[in-house]
Amino acid sequence: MLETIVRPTRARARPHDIVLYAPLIRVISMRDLKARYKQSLLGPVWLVVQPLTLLGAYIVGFRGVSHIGTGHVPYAVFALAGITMWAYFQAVAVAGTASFVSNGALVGQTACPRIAFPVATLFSCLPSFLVPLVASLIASAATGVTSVRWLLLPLPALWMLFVTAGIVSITSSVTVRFRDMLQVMPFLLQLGAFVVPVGYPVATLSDKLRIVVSLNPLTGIIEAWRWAMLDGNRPYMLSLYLSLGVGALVIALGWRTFARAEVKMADVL
Amino acid sequence: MRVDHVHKSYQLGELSSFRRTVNGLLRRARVRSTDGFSALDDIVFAAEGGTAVGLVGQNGSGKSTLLHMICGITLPTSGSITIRGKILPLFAIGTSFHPELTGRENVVLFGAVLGLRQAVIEPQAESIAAFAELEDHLDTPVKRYSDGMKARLSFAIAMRFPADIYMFDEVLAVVDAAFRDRCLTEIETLRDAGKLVFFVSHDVTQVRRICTTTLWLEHGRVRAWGLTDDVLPQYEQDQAEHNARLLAAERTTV
Repeated sequence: MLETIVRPTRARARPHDIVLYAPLIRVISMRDLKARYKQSLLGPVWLVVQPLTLLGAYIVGFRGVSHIGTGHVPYAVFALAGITMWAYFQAVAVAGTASFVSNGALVGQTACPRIAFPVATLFSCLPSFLVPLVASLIASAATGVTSVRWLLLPLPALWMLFVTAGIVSITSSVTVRFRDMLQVMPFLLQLGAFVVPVGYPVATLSDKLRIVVSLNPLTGIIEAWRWAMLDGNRPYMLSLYLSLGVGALVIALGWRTFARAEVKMADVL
Repeated sequence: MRVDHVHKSYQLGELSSFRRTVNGLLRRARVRSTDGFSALDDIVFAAEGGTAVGLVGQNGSGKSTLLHMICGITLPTSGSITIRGKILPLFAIGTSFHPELTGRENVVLFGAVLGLRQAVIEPQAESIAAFAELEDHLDTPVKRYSDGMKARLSFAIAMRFPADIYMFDEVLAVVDAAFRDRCLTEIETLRDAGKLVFFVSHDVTQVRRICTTTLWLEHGRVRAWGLTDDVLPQYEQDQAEHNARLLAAERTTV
């Protein structure tokens, strides 16, 4: 019989818990998915409206006002590619940050492994990725921008999943202690939609700005995604290296933050 | 399982507040961290399978805190707890229920939270519905259930899913007498089958009926621990004296 010892420790969660509790994570993702769209008339429509609105904003702001150049790729197709990645990140950032707070009863009254909550949002938010992805693929094909590099798309997508997981581990753990984070997230995301090069190529920035922007692990991912998706030029290579490096740091820090917060969660929530 | 000199203290008051932050920044008042509150103090006891342990004590004596710690929901401030086997806790009715999901979907959720695989959960769904007398309602969203229905479903789940240690924390209050009786009988069956059962209740008759041993907590300390027949009379007498004192105080103030 399994013997467990409960005693005061700094951290008790282990990364392989995620694999161990995969069935639970699946059940919770399904629960979140179902709950989100049950009894809602317009539920799935928002999946389309949100990225479209952002696309509209970009077209007006970056194309209409600033006349950003995107090479031989039509601007809308270019923007849609970036939006695919950003829409997923945004959805997970919102749902994931609140994951412990919204599952407060399970955290405080059951022995449910808490890692399941943020990890489940990575999967329950997949529709926010798939809808713009399909639109993006169709738009690309329609304008003749297809490429064998499409086969490489899973790579930046997977890395996006891991980096997002790292970021959300930090924000969700912080939220348990300081609820302000819930207010801050939407505001940060609004900023991010323009500060992160989703609607414009990194190449349009000045040299110094390029480096600053590349410190954000998301920048490199989006550049790589666009390179694989569209028939474009070389991505800004520094952003890719920094994405891998900073991203790895964020993932490590994310795990540490979660593991330490997890033991106190029931007391603090 | 064994509880070794377990202590648990909490901070009183709000953990973060804007006023404290501002005061701290302006160094206006000395930033005093909030006072500590000792919820449990030097708890020592042990229990084996095949017994039912009653947990009695006034509200706030630390019963729920102790059970939460045994489950690993929260950690002790010092001391340790050693457990052998899987725990199935029922702390409040329908806490792991999601209101938008149906009864059936919630059964699957509860089972997954317990760490059971789909292959173990699915076949039990019908049997659970039968025990809870909810066959027709299993595919309705739980938000449409009455409190009694939710309680019956929670119980049915607890009775049918496999575990080694069971915890019932004052969950029998909401159900009708007939169902309560069925549950108590089921709990006795669990106990006799070699499981360890923790039973928290303010109803002394229930404790007397099911529990072989009883732990009496008072203000976070073990007031008494031993056979139910020894501990319960002491507890009842203490309760009676306490009530008499309260009544006397009320009369003098009136």
